[in-house]
Amino acid sequence: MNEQQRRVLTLRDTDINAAIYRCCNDEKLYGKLMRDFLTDKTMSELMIAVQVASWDEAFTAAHALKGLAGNLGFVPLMHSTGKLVVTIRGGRTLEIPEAVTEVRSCYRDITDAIRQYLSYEE
Amino acid sequence: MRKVLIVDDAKSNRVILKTILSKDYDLIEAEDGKEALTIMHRNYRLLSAIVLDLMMPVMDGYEVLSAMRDNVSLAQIPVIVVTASADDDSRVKALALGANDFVTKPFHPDIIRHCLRNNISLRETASIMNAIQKDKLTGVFTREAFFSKVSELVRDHGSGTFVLTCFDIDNFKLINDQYGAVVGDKILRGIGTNIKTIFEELDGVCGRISGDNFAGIYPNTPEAEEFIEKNRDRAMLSAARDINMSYSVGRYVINDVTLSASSMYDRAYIAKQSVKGLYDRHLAYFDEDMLNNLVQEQQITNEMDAALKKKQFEVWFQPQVNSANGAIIGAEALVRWRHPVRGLISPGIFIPIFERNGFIYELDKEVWEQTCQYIRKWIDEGLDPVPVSVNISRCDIFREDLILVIEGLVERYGITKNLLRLEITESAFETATDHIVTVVKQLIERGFTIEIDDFGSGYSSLNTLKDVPAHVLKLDMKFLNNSGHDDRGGNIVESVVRMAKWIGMSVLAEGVETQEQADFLKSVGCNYIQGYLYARPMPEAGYLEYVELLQKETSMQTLETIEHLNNRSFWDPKSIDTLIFNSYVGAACVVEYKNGHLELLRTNKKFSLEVGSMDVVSELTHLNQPIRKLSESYHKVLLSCITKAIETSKEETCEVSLKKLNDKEEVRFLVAARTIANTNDRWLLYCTVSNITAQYRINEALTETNGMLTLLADSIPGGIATYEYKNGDISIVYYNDGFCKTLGYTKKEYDELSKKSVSSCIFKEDFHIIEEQLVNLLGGTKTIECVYRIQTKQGECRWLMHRAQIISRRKDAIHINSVFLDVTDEYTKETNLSTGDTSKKCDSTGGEA
Repeated sequence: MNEQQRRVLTLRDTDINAAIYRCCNDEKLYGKLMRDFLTDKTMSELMIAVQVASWDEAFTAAHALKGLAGNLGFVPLMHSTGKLVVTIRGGRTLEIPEAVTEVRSCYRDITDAIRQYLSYEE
Repeated sequence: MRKVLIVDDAKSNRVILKTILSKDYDLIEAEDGKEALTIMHRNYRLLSAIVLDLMMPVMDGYEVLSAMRDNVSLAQIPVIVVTASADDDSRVKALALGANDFVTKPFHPDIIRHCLRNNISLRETASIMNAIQKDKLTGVFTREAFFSKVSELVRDHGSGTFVLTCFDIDNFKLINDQYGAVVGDKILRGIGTNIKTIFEELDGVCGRISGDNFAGIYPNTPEAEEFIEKNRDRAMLSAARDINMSYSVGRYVINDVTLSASSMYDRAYIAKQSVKGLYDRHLAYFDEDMLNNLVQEQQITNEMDAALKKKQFEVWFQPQVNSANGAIIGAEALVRWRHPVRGLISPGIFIPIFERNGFIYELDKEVWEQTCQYIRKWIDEGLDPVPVSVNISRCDIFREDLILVIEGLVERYGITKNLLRLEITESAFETATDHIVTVVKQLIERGFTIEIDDFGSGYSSLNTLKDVPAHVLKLDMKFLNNSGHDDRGGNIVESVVRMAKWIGMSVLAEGVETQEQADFLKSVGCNYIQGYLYARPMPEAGYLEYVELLQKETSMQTLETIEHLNNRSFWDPKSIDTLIFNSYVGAACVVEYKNGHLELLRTNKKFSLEVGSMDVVSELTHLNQPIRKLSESYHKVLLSCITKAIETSKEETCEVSLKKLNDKEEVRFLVAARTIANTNDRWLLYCTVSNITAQYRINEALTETNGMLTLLADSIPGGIATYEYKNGDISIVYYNDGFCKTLGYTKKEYDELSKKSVSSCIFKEDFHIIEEQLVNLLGGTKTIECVYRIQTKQGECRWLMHRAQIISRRKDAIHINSVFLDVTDEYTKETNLSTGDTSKKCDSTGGEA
């Protein structure tokens, strides 16, 4: 991982060291997992579930997204999905749109960052 | 390398987990719960652990945990749950469903590694412990583990709170032998599975102690007891549905917590052994007496060999008496143990122990030898001993040298075989009957007298009487005692005595203690008695004194039969005699006669047909109400015929009439009776019965007709007579009142006269007249008529007109019918008219009379 790549992720509060440690210090694997994240359908499943107000499915998707984000070190996304999980589990449906907005924002940030990261690949 | 299954729908998560764990484990992946379960079912023996995500599509982690918990094999596999959620609810839920540990996302590689390693290690240790604690075959605790659990429970809960039970299958070895070890193991496995569920339900534990011995411990409460009672049959017997088996249970209420678990088990085991072999009891609770008995048994077992060598076993004698005449007929040799410390030990204590441990044969041989020694001694002292019976135990019969030993003894001591009678207890015949019957027959062939001992004390079988060709039946009075003095018990005893006698056995009642019993026995024909009423068992000196006072009877009275009658074969339903009786003779029956009392014992099919219906037969054979349908007069006729047959020892006949049931019609029978056997005052008679009703009816009609004719003949004036002409002589065979009257006699007077001579009243001068006419008649003249003089009883001369004709002409005799008319008046008139005709005068010489 070059400096540019590290900077772009750090800007999005990504816990790069922990994530790479989790991948047994295999930066290449980490890069691959990030690339996979761009095509992962969990986020789109979450959005659909929220739009149709299917809270059980939204909960499952948010939970999965939280785990994924946590493992890859995407801390803001992990926190925002965590909040969404708590909101849905608590049945506080009025607060869900705001929580979803925050998740969407964090997701957009981290996916932008990953794309930049990938563009800096040598 | 241990195998671990990773279950997560997110590929990235799986990749990370794989990266973390691949160095240490062989990893399998599943994307959802459903796929995970499929893999688990295929690989449950190989999987060391499962890393399971909770939130998954198709089937989430909770559902997987739930499914695993319901499956015994999968439930053993440790599960590490991973989730992004850190809340307590999901943790509690997952742990409640059987998850072993919990890790959260994002993963911490070291935490995950340690967590996995620890859980796998724990499971493996548990498996090793299980392998030591759990019986491989049945899945319940091993002996050591069970005892350890029992100790823990008792220590924690105290005295009286638990019951230790032990149980086994009766004769499990036979099941193994008969069906094979595979089936045997299957049964044990089934029992293990069943009892494990039952004891776990009661918060108890169970274990397999050895072989088919299982044990369990459960709370000492009525509810637990009820639950056990309700389920034990199913638990034990459903394991072998097609095999008929039983089991025995012993229980110990743990009230001494200082005992080791093993000693507690021993107490339950002792209780269980106390019901082994009992037909009607399969369960017993331990009590201290059981332990005392066991201790006593051990003491006796320890001392028995030495006691035999030191001649501590003594033979005593109990006399056997004929109550009819007070004579001694024999004695039974009974063993006593004179123990140097404990004094005289009753055989009731040591015999059962010796029977169990096999020492009985050694003891029996000692008793037989001592008995032979005594008999020899008595002979040498000129005492003329009566026979002595010795016991042969069931175990002895299976000894190959039994016959050699007994024969060897009588030869060595030079005594005749009739002096040593052999008693075999009836219970010996319950099993292995063929073998025992063979041995008994061999002993009989060698000249020994065999007695069946204790008949009536257990589950007596009529088969024993039928199959065992013994000489004497020893009837145990316990039978009467148990049934009271009711008619039923008495009737059965009477029937047994009778049956035994008719198959040629003598009957001796033992255990007779009261005069009432002796009187009853006498009344049913059992005079031979052994019991306290006459004498207790006594040592030799006392016995000899007793014998000296009594008259001796060296042989027992047995059945006397007619020549060629095989009485056993006669009563055997499969014998040729029975076949002949049933199929090849006419209506026949066998009756017993005793003191004016007749009873039907046996009838054949033709008898049933002839006599009418089975109802009649059953009426006839009704116990103590014999021949009921016979009227009193015919009963007398029959009895008279029977007693005559007994007196003459020949066939005697009589005719009796019997009314059919529901039928007013009388049937006439000709009964022919003949004695075939006799014992004491009882006689057995074989009777043939022929229905002669038709002939009887004809005879009756004839008699009636004759009566009418006689009446008619007697009422007419004049005389009628029938003569028989045979070999040149003539005799009168019939005459009516008128005939006698004509001659001046009464019928009785003429009866006397006619025996002397037919022609006694005819005038000598007129003989030629009748002679000439007789020649004419025999020569072919159809009817003759003549007049001659006769002299009446009063000396008066009368003229008789005699008209005669032949009524039957047979080869050997001719019958002539004659009619007589007194024509004196007519002749007197004629004489008056012509006085010169002297031929018509009645003043010549009179008749012979």
